[in-house]
Amino acid sequence: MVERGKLDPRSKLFFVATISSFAVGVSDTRMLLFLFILAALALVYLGTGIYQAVHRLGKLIYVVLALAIVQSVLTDAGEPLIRLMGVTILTDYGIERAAQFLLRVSIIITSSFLILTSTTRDLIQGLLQMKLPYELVFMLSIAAKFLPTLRNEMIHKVMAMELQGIDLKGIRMGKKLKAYRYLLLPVTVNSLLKSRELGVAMEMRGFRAMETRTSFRQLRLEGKDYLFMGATAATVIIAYIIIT
Amino acid sequence: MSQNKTRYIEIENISFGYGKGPDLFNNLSLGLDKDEITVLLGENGSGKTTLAKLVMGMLGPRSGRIMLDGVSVEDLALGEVGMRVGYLFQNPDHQIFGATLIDQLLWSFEFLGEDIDLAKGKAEELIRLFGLEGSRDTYPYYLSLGEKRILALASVLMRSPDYLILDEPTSSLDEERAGVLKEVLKNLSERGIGMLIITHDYDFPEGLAHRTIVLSEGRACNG
Ligand SMILES: Nc1ncnc2c1ncn2[C@@H]1O[C@H](COP(=O)(O)OP(=O)(O)OP(=O)(O)O)[C@@H](O)[C@H]1O
Ligand SMILES: [Mg+2]
Repeated sequence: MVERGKLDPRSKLFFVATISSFAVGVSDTRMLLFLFILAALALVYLGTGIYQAVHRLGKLIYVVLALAIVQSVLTDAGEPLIRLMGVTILTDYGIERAAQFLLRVSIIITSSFLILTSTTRDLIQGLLQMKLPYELVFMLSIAAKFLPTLRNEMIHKVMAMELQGIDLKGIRMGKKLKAYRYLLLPVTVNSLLKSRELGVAMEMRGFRAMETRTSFRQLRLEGKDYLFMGATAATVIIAYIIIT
Repeated sequence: MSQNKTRYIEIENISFGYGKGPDLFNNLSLGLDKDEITVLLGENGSGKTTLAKLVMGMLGPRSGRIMLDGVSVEDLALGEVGMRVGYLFQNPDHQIFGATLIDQLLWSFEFLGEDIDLAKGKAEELIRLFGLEGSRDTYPYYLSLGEKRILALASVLMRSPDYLILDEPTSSLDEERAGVLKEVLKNLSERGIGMLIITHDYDFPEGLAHRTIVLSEGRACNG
């Protein structure tokens, strides 16, 4: 059996890539539903991120609702379900399109959470062994490490603003943009300054001083990884043939 | 002991810890008044900043409550707390928004449609008081850490709060600036503005503090 979370990050990337590209490519609601279930099962099996994933998706509900209405109003297709003063507000087609959108986003979010069950270090090593250039991978890892710092800074800045009597949630749209400018400009400039410092610090420690770079730790694809990737590909392709 | 008198800020039996972590404070009580300057000492990580954030309503206690002028902080919006209690963050970057010195001091007044002429006068006064004239044309992001801290403090004072919570106001300040700061705080105190000063600087509170409190292992002891 596969040990929880101990799959090679490359296997997980393969899973995410397969599932996501099918999610974007197909337009059959049942197939999308199947992909979503598959992604959710994999997530439950490999990690504990399912609650966060569901939480994140919960926030999308308004977007989905708005999308259902927009699709219904703007297209002629489908049977009207709700009409208001002669205008079709909601059609079955609109609902289906919204459901498909929800499923696609859910699949992508759920499967991305799968990647997070690997440590950043493993992920970087995996990407490197996939022959991605070190600079690029390193940049990605820095960006990933920057995010919590950035989040912390934003949380504090928003609170500092509120303490000054400016409540971002309670202000008009036009003013909101202005408030966001005051919020984001200093954060952006500070990030740029920080990254410049980081660049100098890296060069001082010999970043790119040598042509080639070797890693002490090497990841190896094992039997369970091949099994997992094979099963993923087979399940998705068979399901695609049966359903569509 | 003046047990019966209600203080401006009453911290009543609060417990707090981050996330699912252990309690940082357990049943901590402390009263703070407008007619005194209280200095809060404690090791790194003892929870001084956390306590300040709790008083400001930026964090909520697990149990117990914090009263500000007779009202529970939890029932107040951050803006309402901020109008009464000025808070200097430990990291001044969190409080710097403006693209210039003047913009930093005035933008919230402009934004909220408040009396801008009055604010302008006050800003000029603070710039002079803290010797910030030389930094007028520098982007605030490029200011030195000490200059940023002074600027953040000036922004806090712009709002004329009744009480001040200053998280390490003298860290990274040179001796001269620290001296000016001390004078300013003394003046404010004489005008009836209370203060809680968090610091690791043992000289600064000399001749300023009315009482000293040490935070250690989740308890506040008189020092
Ligand atoms: N957002 C947070 N999440 C989790 N733990 C935190 C958070 N902020 C602070 N802590 C922890 O809480 C403890 C108290 O932190 P706090 O910043 O209040 O200490 P402090 O007394 O202000 O220290 P210093 O003198 O270094 O400023 C520390 O152990 C810190 O690691
Ligand atoms: Mg602190």
